[in-house]
Amino acid sequence: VGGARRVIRLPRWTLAVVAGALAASLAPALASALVFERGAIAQGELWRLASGHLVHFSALHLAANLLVLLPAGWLLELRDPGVGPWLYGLAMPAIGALLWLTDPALAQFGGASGLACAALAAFALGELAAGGRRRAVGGVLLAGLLLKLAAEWGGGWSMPGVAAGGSFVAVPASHAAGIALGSLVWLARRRRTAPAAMPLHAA
Amino acid sequence: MAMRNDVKALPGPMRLLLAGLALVLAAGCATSQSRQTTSVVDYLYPDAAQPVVDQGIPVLTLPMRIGVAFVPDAPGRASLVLTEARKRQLLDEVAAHFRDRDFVRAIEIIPSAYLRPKGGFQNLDQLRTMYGVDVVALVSYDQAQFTDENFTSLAYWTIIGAYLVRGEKNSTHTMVDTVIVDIPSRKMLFRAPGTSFVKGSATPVNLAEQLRRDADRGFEEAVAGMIGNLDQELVVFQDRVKQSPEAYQVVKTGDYRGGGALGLLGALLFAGFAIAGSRWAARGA
Repeated sequence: VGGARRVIRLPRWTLAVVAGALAASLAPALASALVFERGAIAQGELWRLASGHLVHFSALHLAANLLVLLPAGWLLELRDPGVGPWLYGLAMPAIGALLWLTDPALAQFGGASGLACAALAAFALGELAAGGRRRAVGGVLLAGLLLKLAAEWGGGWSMPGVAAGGSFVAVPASHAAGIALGSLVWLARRRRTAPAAMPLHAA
Repeated sequence: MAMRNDVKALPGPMRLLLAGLALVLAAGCATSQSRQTTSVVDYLYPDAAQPVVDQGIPVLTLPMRIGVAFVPDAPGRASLVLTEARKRQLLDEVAAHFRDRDFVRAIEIIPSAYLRPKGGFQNLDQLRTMYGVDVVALVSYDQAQFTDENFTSLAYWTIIGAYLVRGEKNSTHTMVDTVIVDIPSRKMLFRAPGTSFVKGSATPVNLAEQLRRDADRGFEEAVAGMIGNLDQELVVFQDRVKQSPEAYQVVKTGDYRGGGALGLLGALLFAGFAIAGSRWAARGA
């Protein structure tokens, strides 16, 4: 009685992706069935193009990617509750397909950083388009993303993902594709994005 | 002078006993030592007069085939502990640690018989052809053992004491060193050492056995330390490759594993700023 009850709106799509990544990390058989494997994809297992993002090569690799994906996806879904299917439905297969087409030497791929970049880019553009402080937040996030991308490309080759604690070669193309696809999703849905500052908790 | 007169004043048998005691104490201070060593410089550059020709910058083809071998022993200076089988075991430990890295296609353990003392890069070129490796990890070692007798060694006079009293104090100092060499360019990529210090004691009867055991333990510990240092040096080398593209050329071939990775620091920065920035913006609205 009296006072509005605060309801936390859960980002269902982001949580589903995070749950999938955690499940793949806990079940090696599942990870094996989901990972981006060039040979298996060539034999028709096309789901691996999308599901490879759920597979990680070490606990630190998983932690670093989910550390960005969870808050970025959560904030994005709060601003635009219907964006989840668009973002993940487009970015997951599209990043995989782009890597498949552009990097024939990539035999195996895993990691949700492309999705994290997509969510972060879409959120940052939404903030940039808004006024006031949100514009500053969006600008800084977008600039940070682009700077990181430039550093990765500028550095050329990146040896095994020591920074992420795994034994693999970092693939900056997945980040570039994620940023591009996140921007595309934001463009497609910008009228639906809450124009005014929306609180983190819906009343 | 007064002391010398005091000794002279002692009876003959007593003087004899004192002289014997002095002899034993002097013998107790005796030190014996042995040293076994191999040198990667002696192996790679046997002829100091021959000029070293610059072969250009290293071209690292990923994933790599890497050879790993002990530098051959100089004649007469080989460690008796480090048999071919033991070398193989130690190299297996090194290889097992790095085999699952995805910049590694394969690690080939090269037996010592395939390396000639003072073989130089000609020998490495032969191994390159035989094993198909472009990069080789050469492991050299330096082990010194010292044995001192302490005062309890007086008990050896009783014969049975030589079986029971551990009057032989041993110390074993070991260093192993791995140098990663790019064969075509003749360049050292990086190196990592590992050290060990083992103290022990023994009776004269089992001294040789104890020394062998200490020597083996020394190699085991030094190799374990070296593996950890190799890990660290590898990280430093990766940074150097990124920062100096003019010094190293990297070529990626097929069959590599890629990961979408933001790195922990980047992830913390992005996540922290996104959350804090959103809260700050909401407060200002």
